[in-house]
Amino acid sequence: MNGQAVLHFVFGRLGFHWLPFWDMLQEPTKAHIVNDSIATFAGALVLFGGALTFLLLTWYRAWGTLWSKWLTSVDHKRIGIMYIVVSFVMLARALIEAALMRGQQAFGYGGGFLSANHFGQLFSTHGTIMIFFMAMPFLTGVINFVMPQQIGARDVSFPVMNSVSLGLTTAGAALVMISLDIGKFSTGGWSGYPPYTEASFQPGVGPDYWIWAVSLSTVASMLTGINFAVTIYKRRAPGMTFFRMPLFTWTALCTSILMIFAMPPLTVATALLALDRYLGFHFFTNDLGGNMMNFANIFWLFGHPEVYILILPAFGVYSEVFSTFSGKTLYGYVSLVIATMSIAVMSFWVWLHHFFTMGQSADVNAVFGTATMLIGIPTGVKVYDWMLTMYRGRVRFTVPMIYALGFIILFVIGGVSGIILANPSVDYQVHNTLFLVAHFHNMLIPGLLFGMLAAYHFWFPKAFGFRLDERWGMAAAVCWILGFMLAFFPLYALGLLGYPRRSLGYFDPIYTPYMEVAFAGAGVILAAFTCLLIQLFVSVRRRREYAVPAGDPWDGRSLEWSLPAPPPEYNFSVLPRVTGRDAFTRQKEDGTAYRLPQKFADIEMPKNSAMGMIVCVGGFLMAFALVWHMWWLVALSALGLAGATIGRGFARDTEKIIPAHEVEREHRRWLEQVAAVRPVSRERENDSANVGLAAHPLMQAAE
Amino acid sequence: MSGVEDLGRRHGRGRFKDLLWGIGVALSVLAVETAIEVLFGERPEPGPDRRAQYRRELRDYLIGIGLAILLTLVPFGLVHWPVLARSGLYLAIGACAIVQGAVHLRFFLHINPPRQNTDDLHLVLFTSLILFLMVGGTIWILGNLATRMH
Amino acid sequence: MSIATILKHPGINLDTEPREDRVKAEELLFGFWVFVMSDAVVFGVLFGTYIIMDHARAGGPGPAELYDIKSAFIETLALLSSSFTYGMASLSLKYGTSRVPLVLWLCLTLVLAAVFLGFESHDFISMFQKGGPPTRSGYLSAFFALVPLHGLHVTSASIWMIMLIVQMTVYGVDRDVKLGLLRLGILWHFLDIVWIAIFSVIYLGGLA
Repeated sequence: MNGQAVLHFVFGRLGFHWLPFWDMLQEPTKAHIVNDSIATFAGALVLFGGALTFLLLTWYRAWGTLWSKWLTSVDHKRIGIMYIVVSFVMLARALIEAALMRGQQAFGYGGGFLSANHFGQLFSTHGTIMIFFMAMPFLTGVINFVMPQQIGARDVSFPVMNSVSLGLTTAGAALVMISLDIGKFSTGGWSGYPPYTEASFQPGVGPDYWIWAVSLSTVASMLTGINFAVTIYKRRAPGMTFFRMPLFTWTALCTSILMIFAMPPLTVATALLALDRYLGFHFFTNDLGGNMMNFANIFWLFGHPEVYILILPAFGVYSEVFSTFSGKTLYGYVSLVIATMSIAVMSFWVWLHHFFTMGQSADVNAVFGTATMLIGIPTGVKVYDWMLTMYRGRVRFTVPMIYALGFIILFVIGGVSGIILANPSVDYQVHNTLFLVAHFHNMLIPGLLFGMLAAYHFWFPKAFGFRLDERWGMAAAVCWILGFMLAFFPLYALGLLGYPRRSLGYFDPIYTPYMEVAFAGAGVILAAFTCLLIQLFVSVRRRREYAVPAGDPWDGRSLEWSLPAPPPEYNFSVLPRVTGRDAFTRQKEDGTAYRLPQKFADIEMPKNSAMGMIVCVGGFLMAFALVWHMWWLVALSALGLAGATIGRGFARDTEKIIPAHEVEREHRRWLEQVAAVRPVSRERENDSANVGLAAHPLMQAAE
Repeated sequence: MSGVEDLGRRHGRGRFKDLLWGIGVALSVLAVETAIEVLFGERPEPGPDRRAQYRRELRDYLIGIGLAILLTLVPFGLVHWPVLARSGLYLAIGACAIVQGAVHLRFFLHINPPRQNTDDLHLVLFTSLILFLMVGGTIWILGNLATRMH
Repeated sequence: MSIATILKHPGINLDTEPREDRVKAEELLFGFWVFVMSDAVVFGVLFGTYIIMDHARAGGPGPAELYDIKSAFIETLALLSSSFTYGMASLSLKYGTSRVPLVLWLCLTLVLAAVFLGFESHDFISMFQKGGPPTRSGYLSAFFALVPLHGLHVTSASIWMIMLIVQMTVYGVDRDVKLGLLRLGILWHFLDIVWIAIFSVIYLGGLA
């Protein structure tokens, strides 16, 4: 075997020509220099970020803590936090990509500064990252952290599988990140339609990066859905019937059901595309019987429930925020539950509205168009319920509430544009124009993102024991709202003026003013993200001032607020007995909150496990090897993963006991802390006097 | 439809329509049968007598395998010795498949609607709904597209 | 929730262990059943794809040229019998006092699975030889996505079974082995149900 063959076997199709600065060195034209400089800078940032993390961990000697307290932890709270860390990192990247695209289009009259290929990669990574590696991890992290506490459980049903899901998601994110350093990403958008993504049109590594990154994320979400659904079905505290669960838990349940049933079609779609690309099958090819329309069909079988996966947790967050910051019970609980369940079920029969123009008859389009319009109804019910929750309440304009108010106005606008799009005849005019892009960003940003940012602000004190800085939070929220409006409302006009999506530039100057306003909006959004970073930095610096160890900074209504901040690993010293909705408010009103339990028992908790890390590394290596055709590494990592799974089956000593006296000691210590502080009324909520103990509402009247 | 046209290969989707009809018929039969069992069926308690319980469960498996073999022999036989007309054949195959699936669920997996745990029943029914929407929807949409492209 | 309702789950229900084990079993089995349902959707989408691509022959060979009904019949009987032998293994797990019949029934199941996989592999190879590889047409691609996926599941389930037998020799029939066998049982019967759909829709539907 000669040297070339050996190299080819070991390195697959890796080569120096895949480095981001290669074209620039080979052929220094202006276009190459501009594009490659941007790409190289991005790649360098990834390496720099990795190196910086490595250095900081070594400097602070934090490797041991990182491994034993975080990476091998199976505590749902830690896993939730790690998910959110991943999503913030990916959000930063995807926002920069968005700003680049807006910049390109602001200067797009006559061509702009980016090449078509570069622009294609940008919109593909932007969408893929935002959906699979920002939104999904963010909502998964929030549900992971909050839901078990809300139902009175100690952890999710399958803690090790939880860690494995995190590992797979991170592996996928890492794959997308490494694509900045070697190779190019797909230019087929986040939906990856063949035949454009088939080997005959894109033989390079781009679509393969997309396929395997998405596949990793998909498997992770499927396992997460199973985990959450079983947890909610089987681990609720005594007395917590389904109709006593907080709304956030209800939306978590419906989200997890959607994850379980919507992820399989995506697994199939990407797998079939992979079979076409790797083994020459003919599912979606132009020739020999391929049917590329089936890809759109299968993809959107996943894609539509996916957008409801993205929005339902946000709806749950808003339910909590509206009721907590209006100081009122959520209005219309039963109608909200029924609306949530209807949305979940109905999301499975509207998928065709994503491809009205593919060529079906008008009858088929009409059925799906009608069904699409019907989904607006339960969402409308929810909006009315939230408004009625605020009505006659004592509304407090905290940061989560600002996000919620921005949401309730902006989301309705986006919803209306959706109803417009649901009409097939109208959709024929605006399909795949910027009108559509404006619509879905209008749903995702004020809907999903504001919800997640509100959740971040709302539950941060519970996770870390101190509140976030309110002023920088306000600045961020206002910038997000203004930035979103500036960046996306012009896109409605642009779409109606005929500007297609995913289009590099234009030759009609009529588009320019709108593009420039949108670019300004992108700048405001970057400012918003910067405010968030500053907020975190300032809050950590002032954490003693903002500390809320007693655990209830907002006068919360559900069980998580009855725990210390941060809660112990096992959450509840003694599992609560629930007698109604708004379980913690009940306890506060009954006088049964902050009572010392009569009897403590040993608590059995799962031990740490390295499975999550093994799957992360193994999954990443296998995916990378598949992209680059390094078959020996594919086989090796697959064997490693199989071996680890089989080995786990042989594990027997997987639980540890936390003795009763230790539980009692921790609990007593916390209650002493609570007894030593003064409760604060809501007027002093953002004061340093707020140590996490809420005054009884009647007391507030006396103050 | 008779004559020379019948001898030719039927259009792909046509036979699946018949198969689906067969499935529909079988499902209706099953629904009626379940209703009868719910209304009139006996409900033996899981008594303390383990021998009796063992014999009951063994009997379940024996009935299951017996029915399953029968429901396998019939469709294979009907294909090997063509006695039925085409559409009737597909109907029969579909019906046997559905009933055998139900036999597996009932006698091997012990899924028994009247006495089934509610959570599991939710799950099975919801999955069936999803399968119906996804598979049925795919066939309808892609079939519609294929018709319009001919 | 009464004891009677707790126990009525898919697969055989053990009722002799301590209560904590039963609660854990319920959670684990329910979770596995949920996973099996998601797997059913994967197969469902592949069935849908096969049905709409059935006529995409691209001038190549079709069922009449490629399928062997005798082989399909043998595979069906083998897999069906393996479901029965697994059922007997489950019974011996629940009621038996000795490990021996359990292991014997499991080994018999494995033998039948091997027969199934052997005939199926031979079918695939002969299809290749008759000019019907998956790269020939859309219809064949659809066939080769669906049927080997089922075969892959049977293979993985068999490996799981072997691992459980090994665990039995190391740990005896302890709680985790029992829970593993219960879950494997759900998977095994589910795979047989998928095979019913495969032989009905693909083999008999194609050859009728």
